[in-house]
Amino acid sequence: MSGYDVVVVGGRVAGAATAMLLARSGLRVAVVDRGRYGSDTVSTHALMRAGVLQLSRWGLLDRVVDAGTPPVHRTVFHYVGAPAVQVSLRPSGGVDALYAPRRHLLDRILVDAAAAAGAELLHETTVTGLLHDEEDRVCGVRATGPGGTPLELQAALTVGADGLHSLVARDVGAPVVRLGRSSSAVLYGYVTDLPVAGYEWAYGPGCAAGMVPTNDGQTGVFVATSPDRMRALRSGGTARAFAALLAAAAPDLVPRVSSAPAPEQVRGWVGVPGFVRRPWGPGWALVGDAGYFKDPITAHGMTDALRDAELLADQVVATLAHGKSEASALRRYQATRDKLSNRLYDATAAIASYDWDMDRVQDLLRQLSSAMSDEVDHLQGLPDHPIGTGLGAVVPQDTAARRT
Amino acid sequence: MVVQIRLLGGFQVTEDGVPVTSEAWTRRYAASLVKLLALSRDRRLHREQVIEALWPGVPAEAVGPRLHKAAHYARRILGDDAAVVLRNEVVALHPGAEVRVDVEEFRRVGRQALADGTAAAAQTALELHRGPLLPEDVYESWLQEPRDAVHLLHLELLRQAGHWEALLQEEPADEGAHLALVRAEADRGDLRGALRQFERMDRALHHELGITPSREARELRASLEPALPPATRERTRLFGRRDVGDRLRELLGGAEQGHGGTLLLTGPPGVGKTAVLDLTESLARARGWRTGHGTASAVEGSWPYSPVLEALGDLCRAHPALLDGLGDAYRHEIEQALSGRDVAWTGESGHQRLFVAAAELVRLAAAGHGLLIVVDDIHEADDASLRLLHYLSRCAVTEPVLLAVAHRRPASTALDAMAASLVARGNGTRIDLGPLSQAATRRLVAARFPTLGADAVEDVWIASAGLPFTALQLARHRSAGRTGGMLPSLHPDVLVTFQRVAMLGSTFTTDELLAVAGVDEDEAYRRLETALSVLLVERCGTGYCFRHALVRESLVDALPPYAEAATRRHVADQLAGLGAPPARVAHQYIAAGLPSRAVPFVLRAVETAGALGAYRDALSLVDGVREHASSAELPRLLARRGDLLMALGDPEAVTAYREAVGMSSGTAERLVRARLARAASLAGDLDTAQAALAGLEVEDDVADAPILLARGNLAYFSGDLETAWDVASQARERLQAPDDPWQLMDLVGLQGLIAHQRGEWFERFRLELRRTHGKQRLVTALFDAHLCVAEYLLYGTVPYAEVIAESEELRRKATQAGALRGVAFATALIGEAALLMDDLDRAERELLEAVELHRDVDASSGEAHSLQRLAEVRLAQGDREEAQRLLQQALPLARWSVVSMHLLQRIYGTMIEAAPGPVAARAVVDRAEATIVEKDRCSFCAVMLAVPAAIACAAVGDLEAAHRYLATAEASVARWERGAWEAAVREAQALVARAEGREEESVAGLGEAARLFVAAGHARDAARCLAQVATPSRSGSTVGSSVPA
Repeated sequence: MSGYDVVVVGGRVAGAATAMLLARSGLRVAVVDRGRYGSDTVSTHALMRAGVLQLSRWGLLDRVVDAGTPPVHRTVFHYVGAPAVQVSLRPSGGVDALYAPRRHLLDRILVDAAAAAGAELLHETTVTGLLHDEEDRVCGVRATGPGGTPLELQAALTVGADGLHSLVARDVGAPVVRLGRSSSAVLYGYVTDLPVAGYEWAYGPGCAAGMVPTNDGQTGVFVATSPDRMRALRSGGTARAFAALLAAAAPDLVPRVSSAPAPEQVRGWVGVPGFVRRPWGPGWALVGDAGYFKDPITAHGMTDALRDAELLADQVVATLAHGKSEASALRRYQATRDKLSNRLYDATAAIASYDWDMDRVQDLLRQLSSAMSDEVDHLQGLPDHPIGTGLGAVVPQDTAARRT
Repeated sequence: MVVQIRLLGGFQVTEDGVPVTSEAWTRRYAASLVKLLALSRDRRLHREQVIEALWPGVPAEAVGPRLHKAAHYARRILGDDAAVVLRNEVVALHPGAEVRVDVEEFRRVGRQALADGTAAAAQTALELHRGPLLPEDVYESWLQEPRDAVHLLHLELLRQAGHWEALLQEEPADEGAHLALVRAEADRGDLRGALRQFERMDRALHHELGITPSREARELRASLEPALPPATRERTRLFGRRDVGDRLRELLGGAEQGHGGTLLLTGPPGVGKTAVLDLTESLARARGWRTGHGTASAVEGSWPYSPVLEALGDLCRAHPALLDGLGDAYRHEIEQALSGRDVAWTGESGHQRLFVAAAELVRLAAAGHGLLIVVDDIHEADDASLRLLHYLSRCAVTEPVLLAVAHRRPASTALDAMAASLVARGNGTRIDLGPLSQAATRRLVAARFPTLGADAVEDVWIASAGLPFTALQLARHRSAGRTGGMLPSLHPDVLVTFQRVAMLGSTFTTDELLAVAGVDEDEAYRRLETALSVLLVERCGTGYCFRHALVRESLVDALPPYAEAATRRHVADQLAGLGAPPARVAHQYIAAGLPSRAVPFVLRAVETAGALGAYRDALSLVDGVREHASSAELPRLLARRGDLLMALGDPEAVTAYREAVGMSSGTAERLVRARLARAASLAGDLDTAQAALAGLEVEDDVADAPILLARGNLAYFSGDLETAWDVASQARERLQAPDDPWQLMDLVGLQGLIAHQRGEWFERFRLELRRTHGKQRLVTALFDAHLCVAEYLLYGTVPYAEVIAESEELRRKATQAGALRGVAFATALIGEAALLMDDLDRAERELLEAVELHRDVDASSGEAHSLQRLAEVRLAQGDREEAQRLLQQALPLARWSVVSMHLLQRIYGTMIEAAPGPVAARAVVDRAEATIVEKDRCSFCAVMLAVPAAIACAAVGDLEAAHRYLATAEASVARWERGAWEAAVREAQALVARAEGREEESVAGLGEAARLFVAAGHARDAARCLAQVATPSRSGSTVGSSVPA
């Protein structure tokens, strides 16, 4: 099998969404993912308004709602030593509530939508390297399919949506343009039947916590702090570290969490500092965490992935279907991504430094809100994408010829 | 027996068809108990539940007797010993009788109707809804939940029944209801009606933050009106304003560096202020800034703050997701003020939270961006808007924010004061727009009317005097081959119609046009078309507007005076019919010379204005009609007048309340008497207070707590601290609605005063903050009466660094709670402590800020106090003239302050210090003596005047007076803890001794004073004493520097 317009490496939020949008525009798309169809993954789950807006604009929000994902109508910010602040969500632009779907649900919805639009899905297929032409332009991927079958997929463009440890980024040597220093170490677990007001975020001296209601009556509860502090605390046991951080970051939440059944398992996530990569080069592009990763403390990764999927897809369509030069199209993708991301990235890095007092963290959250508003403004100004299929309908013949 | 209890639309109990008279329910808790039980399942509640609902936070031992008393009165009123039964910890209402409660039936039938889903079923249920649940008890927190439930059910039923108009009465921005009406009009073929409905929807959405029409609405509109002309005004290219453009860029650039501020654009009408504001907006947008735009002249007599809120609303419409970062409490404050709907006033001073909320929105919108807020025509703005702008302007200083406001000159005193203050603080930049040069006028006219000949252009230049609007208007006439002034030639009918419309303001809706036109719809639309075609009016955001303020003014000016009154009256009648905000209607009737008709509207408008903190605007409305109110209206009008004056700290409140007492009866009279007593106590008129309270007893009604409070105040100001404390504690227990800051404010203040005198002030303050934690409305109440009392703290034994640290903590908490008055209070305290510990830079900074903050929230006592302290800073900096100027500013504020007995002595004390020489200083002593009557003296604060007065008298050899003041100072200082004032008195004694030639004694006294000053941490004062040991003669120097500073 050979000859795609685009091969997308990674079929999670960023990859599946990008593939869906490209396929909806009539491009021939393959998605390669090493995981099984419908598998779960580590996540904060929380979608912010811009993320929900994307699902709504793409006609996928109903599926999230129909799956019983609890609607979130308000966010409560808890600060140690100061009154809590509640923000109710105002319905606007097709977003009546926020949602925090489990990933086995959200990723499957996106993958199914990509498949319905005509993208080919290759699960349990591991990319082992990229194909380069004689001018060193990336022209597809080498992979191993189920049962160890070797595969070569030729494509006009290869999109790396393969996450934090992206093979695509590594292979092409995508330059890191920003590299952070701070990161959160996180402990998290799922609690059943925990009464929550919506998203609840809490900030205490040098630490933070949060509660995110997701599917099946479960609420994701996390605590976070600097890796050093976490290491010291965990030496006394994970459960004690969790309790200590919850008490420090969110004393108001302790009675509620402790009166609910204890989480079956508390898992840890060691922090990785944020980075921004140049997300394109000859024949390749990066989307999602592969190109731009920021600490999960602001729970904004999936939202940005859904945003960037469209920013990238629009430019890919402009180049493959409408003949715009690849470099100028992808440069535009990078510029828009960075314009919308820089302030989110900065505020997140500052929060993940855990070097703030309550006034400062409120100021950082204000920066974050302001940047999120810009993101929503931008996405609302984008043209709607028709939900339709039609392979090759808009692909000019010369492009079709190039892939063979 | 069959008992029917009505709770919807009002409270009424009927027994076997015989109603219990409403007068019988004067015992408030008896009524509350019956209502609470009637709302409960099976009309039974556990005793604890009743107590928690009716007496939350009251000690258990106090509650038992009250519950029994309430039950006892309820039985007596209902005439049945079994009406309320307390048994086995359960309280039950009429357990043996057949009881029908209307709300229960409404909820049951309503729920069935919703399940049924038909309009007919909903209609049946709606017939049982006779009004909102217990509308007379709006402040009862235990009613909140059932009231919300009934309200929501009612809305759902209205929706199901398709009663769209009624639904919009309740929820004016319900888009579904608007669209249903639009479709109905369109289906009937009434396109105009459908579009008018859209206009109403746009208007309604403008009163909510961040709501824009949905896609469905936009599509429906486009299908009805495919070629809607753009609503934006024509952009004018500017000529001859390059320097202005440069200045704007500079200001925007400065703001981007975090040095925001305010642009005050001034100039005569038609000079192009609006065009420059438009340019500012374009430049800001080009830099990626967010912007919001409001206009003060949009509506005549509109509600408080409206142009500023309009700008914030505009900002949020463009960026609705910003609201995801604004706390609900803040949004509620802004939306309440933005809604333009009537708000009930509890009497609390609530505008501070609106200020804080608006500032938070501004900070949020500016975060990482620039933000431009434009308010045009602020010469037409209300006093409240100017205060809010002034506050926001000061918040802008450290943010990337530019406020751009335009006004004509000369401006009102209030506007001039605001502008001067901003400019003086370096926060404001004035750009005065002058007429265009001849060359610029030529270029302007040539660009817009290229075919106009050179002679005509020359004529236009001469006739326009360089005013661009006039030039374009004249050029337009010339190019059309006409001559004429501001107005195009209009058919008399069209002229009359638009003269009426012009009374409304610079904008109007189609509904308003149809109402005031007084002709049939077709004719009104024909006239509108004409006006549009001759550029008299144009489309704008939510309707139409006059093309320029001058066009509108010309229409009004063309009316003879007799016709103007008649026109205004017609417009007022029509506005009243349209359900316009009462302030608008009142404004029109007053302008029409019909104040008596305005009274009912003023009464409503005052509630809203009071609730939103627009006291001065409300007061001027009241004063505009009070001579014309009927005997039925006058008591409430006068009582509210008292409340407004009280809120402004004006001692005239006493007179106002006294007038109101004579007119009222029953509980209303008890309340007014209590308020009279409180106002009189604070003003030092203890006899009046005593007389007002004579014969008033606790009667279990809403007046109880105010009466007790007034008694507490009276006792305090009579010097009986023990009684004051007992009565205050009793009042606190009896607060009928513990969440109502109206009563709590004074009570807390009184307890604070007493605590202060007992040396427990910070502890008390912290306790209050803890008690009010989470009840943000209450936190705002904390700070008022603490103002002067804090002095004891400053001169006591707590080290200044600790006072500053404590005050910073208070300021932080007050900031979080949105209690601006608290922020101002803490800021003043920090400034004072800094002054006393010789950190003059910080003292100056904090006190300047404290002056401005107090001024913004109209807290004149705090402003006077901060000004006086700032004068001390100026003296220490050697700027005597500035000190004098500040004291002159403080004096009138303090004289009318409710705490004048403290403030005046201090101000005169500093005035003596600031006097240019011994003779002048002695003259100030006389002025003080003449101003401060004996009963106005606070015996604690007396030392602050007596010490400098004694020294001043000694310095000119008036030894008799010197000894008199010395005695006063010695008596006063005995009330204080050891500290700086003790040292000051010692210094005064030494200087009097020196004046009498007792030099040895004087030197010893100065040495001791220096030692005491050092012990109190006042190095500068100590140094002065030591210097005087070395330099015996004080002649020619000033006298008052012995006030510790």
